[in-house]
Amino acid sequence: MGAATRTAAGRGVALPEPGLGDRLFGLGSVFGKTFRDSRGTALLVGMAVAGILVVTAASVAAEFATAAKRLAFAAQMQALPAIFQGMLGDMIGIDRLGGFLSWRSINFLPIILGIWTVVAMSGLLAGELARGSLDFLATTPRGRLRLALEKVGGYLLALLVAVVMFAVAVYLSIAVFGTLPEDPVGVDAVLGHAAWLYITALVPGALAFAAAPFVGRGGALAVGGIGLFGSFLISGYASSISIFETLEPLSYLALTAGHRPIAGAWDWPSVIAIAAIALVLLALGAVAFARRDLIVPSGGRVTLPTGPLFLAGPFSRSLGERLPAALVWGAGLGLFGLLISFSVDEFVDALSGIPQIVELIRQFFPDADILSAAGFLQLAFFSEAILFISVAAATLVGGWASDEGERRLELVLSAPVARAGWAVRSGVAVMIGIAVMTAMLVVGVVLGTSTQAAAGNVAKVAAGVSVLGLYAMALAGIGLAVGGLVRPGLAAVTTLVVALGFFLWDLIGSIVGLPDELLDLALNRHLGQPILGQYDWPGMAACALIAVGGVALCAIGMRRRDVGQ
Amino acid sequence: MPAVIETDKLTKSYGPYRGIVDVDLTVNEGEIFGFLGPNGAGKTTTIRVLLDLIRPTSGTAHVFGIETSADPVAIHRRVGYLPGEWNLYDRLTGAETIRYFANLRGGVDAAYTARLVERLDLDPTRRFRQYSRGNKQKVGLVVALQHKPDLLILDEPTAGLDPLVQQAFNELLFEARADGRTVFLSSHIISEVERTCDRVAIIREGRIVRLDTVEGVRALAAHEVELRFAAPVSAAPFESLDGVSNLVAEGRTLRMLVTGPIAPIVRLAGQHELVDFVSREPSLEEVFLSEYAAQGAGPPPGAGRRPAEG
Repeated sequence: MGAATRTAAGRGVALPEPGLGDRLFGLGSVFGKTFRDSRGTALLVGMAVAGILVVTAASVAAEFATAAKRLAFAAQMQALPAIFQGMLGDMIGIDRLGGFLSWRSINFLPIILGIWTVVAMSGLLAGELARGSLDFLATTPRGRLRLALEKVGGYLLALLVAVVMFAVAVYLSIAVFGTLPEDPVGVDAVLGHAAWLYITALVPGALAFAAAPFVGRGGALAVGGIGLFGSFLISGYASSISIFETLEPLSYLALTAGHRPIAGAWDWPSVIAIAAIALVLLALGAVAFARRDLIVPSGGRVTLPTGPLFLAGPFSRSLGERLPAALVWGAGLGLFGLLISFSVDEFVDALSGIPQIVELIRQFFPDADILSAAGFLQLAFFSEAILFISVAAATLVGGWASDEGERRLELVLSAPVARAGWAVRSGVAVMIGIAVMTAMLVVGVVLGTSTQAAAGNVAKVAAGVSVLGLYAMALAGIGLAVGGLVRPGLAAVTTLVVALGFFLWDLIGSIVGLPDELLDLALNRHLGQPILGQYDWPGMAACALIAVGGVALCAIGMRRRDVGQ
Repeated sequence: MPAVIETDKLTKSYGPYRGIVDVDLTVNEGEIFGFLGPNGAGKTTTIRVLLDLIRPTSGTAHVFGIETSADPVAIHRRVGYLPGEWNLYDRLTGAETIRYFANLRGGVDAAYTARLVERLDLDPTRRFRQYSRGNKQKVGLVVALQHKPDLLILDEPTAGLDPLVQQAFNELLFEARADGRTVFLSSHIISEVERTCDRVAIIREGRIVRLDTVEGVRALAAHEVELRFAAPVSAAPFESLDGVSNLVAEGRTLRMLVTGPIAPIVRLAGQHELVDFVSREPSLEEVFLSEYAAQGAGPPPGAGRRPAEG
């Protein structure tokens, strides 16, 4: 206890001033509390990232134990057209362990960390405003600008914790598994790479933070998400598709693609430029917060016409709540499909000029017409679209969970509506939302493909793309089941974690040579090549079963557990 | 007494929506000031401008002589605020929540905070999300009161509180006044304002329509007067007096509403054999309701104001 000091009222014994630890990591300041709120996620993200790196490094070291094997693999990969090299950018120094790690694992980390920063930073202040706690904070004796800066600072420290764990994992992985002469890297290279990851993870979050005072948390999530995934798409497709190549200056991932210190490539100017942009965005968000009225912005939302259509009961109301997000996601996915499918002819022309590659690919897809829209879309679109539609499904499940999380459900269930009945109807509404979103994606792809000379059987393409919706429904079913059986707060997180888990398991597991039995744990490996007309019927039946079963389990859980706890 | 709050033609609009219009208020040091109005009248908007949470469209507001948007931190240092609609951190306990805000303010008397917790009968060990509405309100009250602010701004402070805790809360207000501190109490619970406040303002559709002491507001309103005579008397002479309205004659009894001085009624009644005389002062609630009835409407409808603004 501190000495008896003057209190605010001029008498009594004051609480001790919060110590440095409380100010930095606890309830002693806004900064400390913000860090405290984010530290758990930071540790989880850091551990997941570290785990991915260690597993990848160990597998690469085991599979390519000699320099000759590494060089052969690197030459083989670099001979492929860019579209077959995946979405992870240029292969820089992949004959070295650092280069391989950088290309195959680390290049995807700005997406994972970016999702975290967008979700967290869109709500740093806007989330408190929407919840109703910001009025308390904003009337404590600290200026709004300081409040915003403390909030941002606390979160930046949490992000730093995750990136430091990444840096330690990179250094140790290369030190332990880097057995070839070219493998070792210095601390400076690891720190340089970590700085790049920190900045590229921060940019979409900073964008969301800057947008939040103007469009609220939901709008900021959308703005940050567009920045993140848009940059990823542009960067991934720029070397293959001319439309995206022209957009390259807009992608912070593309602009910093030359900075891969653990692969031996340095490009500090690009990283510093992007860091400056991130700082400007953070400053813009903080100043806007300080200057604008503290009211929840009402603009920028998709609204549906009100009327009896969405008020008839739990199903129609849930549908009315889910449709705006489904329409926004559908528009984004449809645009993505449209842009990709507009490039079919360009791709087919380029590939026709390399008969050796055509022959190579035909060894993997003997019955498929590679030089067609279907072939292109299966190779260049399907696996990326899986990622996006999974994230979209998670947001719809999150909306479903908010009925209970925000305590609307108690009022609904006080009407003569059975819990299980509500669960089934609201769960079906989520599935219909996914169907609507998928339909818009299909429309985008079909529109783009129809304009191309190599369009082929457009109906077959449409049917194949629709399988994405089935997969998204399965993921939503898993989230709904957990939300119903355990608690709603876990529903969207589960959907997202499972989706990213499957995606990364397949992506990294196949490159590090995991056996098929293990790789096949990822549900996305059981969809076949549907755009090429090759369906994995048992896998698709499993997806349908998981979707339906998820809703059923959700209903069972809702009947048994307490509501609103 | 110096003015703690002063507004001059304070106006706030939300685009096409009305917020408040030309609000002129003066709240003096050491008084409990009631701010009355139905939902959507502009109470919360006024408070949020005073705290610089939103900025005025025109006009000025000063708190402790400081223009609200010029140095809000200096104002906040001396203010305790309980919003009308709010929430706090689900994962913190009540004690952690209170401690957090004490840390943000600094110099909070731990013993006083403990006494507040005890007097409001709050169990501070539970997580915020586990609290009932009333218990959440108690946490908010402790956060607002614990640093003994010179000015308490309370927006619907007794929402969800049981009568015993309301009683304890009223005592806290009286203690604040006895200490020379000021309370600005926004409410639509008129009995609460009548019980605790020295002066009161009534806001209607964003404009102040009455501002006086509680007694003054009541005195300006019509008294209900009942005269009982030994024999029936003519109603006409009474009806012709200034300030008399709604006169009803029932046998030997006359009932009327009287605004202004009552002496002419007494003098006229004295000319007859008066058996009984009853004059009842209206309650603040009756004044409030008559204020709205006089405007030809009940509490204003939602149209024309920003939703969710008080």
